Amino acid sequence: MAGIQLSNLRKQFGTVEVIRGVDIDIRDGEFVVFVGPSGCGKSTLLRLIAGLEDITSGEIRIDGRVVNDLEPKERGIAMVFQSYAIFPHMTVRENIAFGLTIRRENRKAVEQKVAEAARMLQMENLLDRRPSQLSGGQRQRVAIGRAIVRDPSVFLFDEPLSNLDAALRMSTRQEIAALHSQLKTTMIYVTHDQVEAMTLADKIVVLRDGEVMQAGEPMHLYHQPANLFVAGFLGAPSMNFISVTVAAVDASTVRISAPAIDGFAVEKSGHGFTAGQQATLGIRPQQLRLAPKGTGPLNGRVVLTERLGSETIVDVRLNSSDIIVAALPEDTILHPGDAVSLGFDRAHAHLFEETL
Amino acid sequence: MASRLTQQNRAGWLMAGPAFLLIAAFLIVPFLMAIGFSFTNQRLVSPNPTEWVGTANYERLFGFAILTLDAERDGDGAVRLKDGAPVYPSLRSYTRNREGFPKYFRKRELFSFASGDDRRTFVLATDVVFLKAVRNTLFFVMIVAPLQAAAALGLALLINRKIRGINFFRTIYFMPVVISMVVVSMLWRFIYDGQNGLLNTLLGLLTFGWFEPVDWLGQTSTALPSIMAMSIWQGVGFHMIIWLSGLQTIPASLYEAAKIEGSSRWQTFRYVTWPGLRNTAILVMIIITMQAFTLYPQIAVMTGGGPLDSTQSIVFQMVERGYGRQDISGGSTISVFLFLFVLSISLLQRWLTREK
Ligand SMILES: Nc1ncnc2c1ncn2[C@@H]1O[C@H](COP(=O)(O)OP(=O)(O)OP(=O)(O)O)[C@@H](O)[C@H]1O
Ligand SMILES: [Mg+2]
Repeated sequence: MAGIQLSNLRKQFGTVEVIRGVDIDIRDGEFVVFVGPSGCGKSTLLRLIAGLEDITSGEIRIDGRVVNDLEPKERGIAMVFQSYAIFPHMTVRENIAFGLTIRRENRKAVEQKVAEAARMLQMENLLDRRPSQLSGGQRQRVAIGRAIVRDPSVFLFDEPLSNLDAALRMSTRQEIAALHSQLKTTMIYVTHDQVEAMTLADKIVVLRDGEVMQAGEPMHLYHQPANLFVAGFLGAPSMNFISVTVAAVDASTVRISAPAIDGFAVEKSGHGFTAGQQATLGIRPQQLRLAPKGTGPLNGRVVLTERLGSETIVDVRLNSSDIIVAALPEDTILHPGDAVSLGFDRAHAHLFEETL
Repeated sequence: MASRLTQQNRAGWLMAGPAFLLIAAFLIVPFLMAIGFSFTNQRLVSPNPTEWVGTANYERLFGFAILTLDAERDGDGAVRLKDGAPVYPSLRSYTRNREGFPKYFRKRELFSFASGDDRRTFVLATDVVFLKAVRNTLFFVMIVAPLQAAAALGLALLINRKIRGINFFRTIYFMPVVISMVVVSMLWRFIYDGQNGLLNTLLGLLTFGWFEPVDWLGQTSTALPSIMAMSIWQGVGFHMIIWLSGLQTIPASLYEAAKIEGSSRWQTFRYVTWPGLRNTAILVMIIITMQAFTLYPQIAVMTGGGPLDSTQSIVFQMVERGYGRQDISGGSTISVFLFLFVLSISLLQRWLTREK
């Protein structure tokens, strides 16, 4: 078990800087999820930690030890790949035992470890099969089994579920969560799926273009996003953003106005605003509710409704022609063209200094 | 429906037609003709009508007999010696005596071995040159096939990297393949020249003049090995490309998984690369074997089968008989033999490498 510290980590491919000064502190036993859009450098960051890529500058410490120049095998890590990367010509048993076999470990001990991993992953009956006779989910479990028997101090997962179908993804996700609570080993998990991030993580690290946008507990990031990117990235449907002007500022609240909406005040939440500046208001779709006609503050017409069962997603074109998305209770019945007023709890509105 | 199908069939036949006609005219028909000729006494041009001779051609090719002789003795019973070796009765007295020894008639010595004190067994064959050609060809295949395959794999492993300028090396290694074997053979005749050939000069320089020039193609002990060396060099690039394509089908993630498990270079080759090349290996072995069996242009250009039949090959004999001596039936017989021989070796290879 080990904590990991990344300090001012940088990575260039040729002249392109892909990781640009990343600082992350991972505690021993923590489940950390790296999320971000495609191409933001999640896999690269993971591969730097694994030692599959050389770092350009900065420092990686695992368990207090600088591992910049260590081979992957010396770092005490195990990695599970998106493509499984299990050896096609070996049986499940041989795959799981691979690392132990090449280290020439005692036969008995190997068998015991393999049996234990198989029991943990409920695949004792698959041990003599070849990968070609396994389903995608079973293959991924073989890869996880191979990681487990190494008894690593850090597990690295690179989008392990992205090749699985929705149902399997959910059950495997739960298995990984169970595995973590059982082993209590540090795990770093890369995904671009925010549901996986929210459900699995002790700590989420949101990345964009090789930089950390925000790191922290999932609900902290959800409730207090530090910037528009994080606010828009976490939560489904995405947060609504409306350009506003700061009308007045007092000790605890900021009064805003915008063409589409009636002026109102929101909590300041630590930002330093000055009157007259442009800002962005963010409201989660789930915070919006229907208000009596004409009472606002958001007024417009329905353009689209999607009934998901648990909730009804309504796209509303505001009078300013901005589109806003509301997640309303499941039995709300609205039709395109209906005029609606939407209200929300001021305490749950976010005001960002950034402009759209 | 039916008419549509037949119409489509007609179009298909029309399109396949030209290729099929060409294949029939230059492959299938000659092949069947060769089988037919091998049972006749057909000559290239002859005023006499062709006759059916049954299996006489095959009997002549493979006719052999074994003759065991006791050493000659003097009047007092002592073995007669010449230069310290026992003297045996002249073989001619057996092979030129149609009435006395019909089964030895017109046969020549293929080889002989001591089979007891003062006793020697002679293996006599009707067609010594052909059997020597078979022996040389087999020897050629047994040396060239594994060495060429191994060297090609070595080169493929060397150039299967992402480093700058690697295409330069790929081109260099592939170059001999695109040059016609006839041209290559001409060039290598100069390299192997006994007087001032490049090889002799080079070896002389490297050993400060200590090396005695060798007439590489002019003596029985070095002629065939020299041709083998050149053949390996010429064909290695082609097989390197096949290996390379095999190597590139192995996913990079398998190598990364192996690296994380701490696999050494050799272990990676043994557990990842080689199993991944299984099908490529079968393909390469079958292609090399078939190519090596058709050994011809090197012989025709460099040695013409000499010295003392030490570089005779099956195909060279086939051409030599069919066109050199205008004995089409003899050439056809050899070609049928070669076909059956290579076919059975390929089938054997397929069987040995079958999926278990
Ligand atoms: N070997 C490489 N050479 C050059 N550029 C690379 C290399 N590997 C990655 N990159 C670039 O680095 C950037 C980050 O890639 P990375 O694979 O880390 O993204 P990612 O966040 O994992 O994306 P995804 O979610 O699609 O897997 C991309 O722009 C990619 O093109
Ligand atoms: Mg990735």
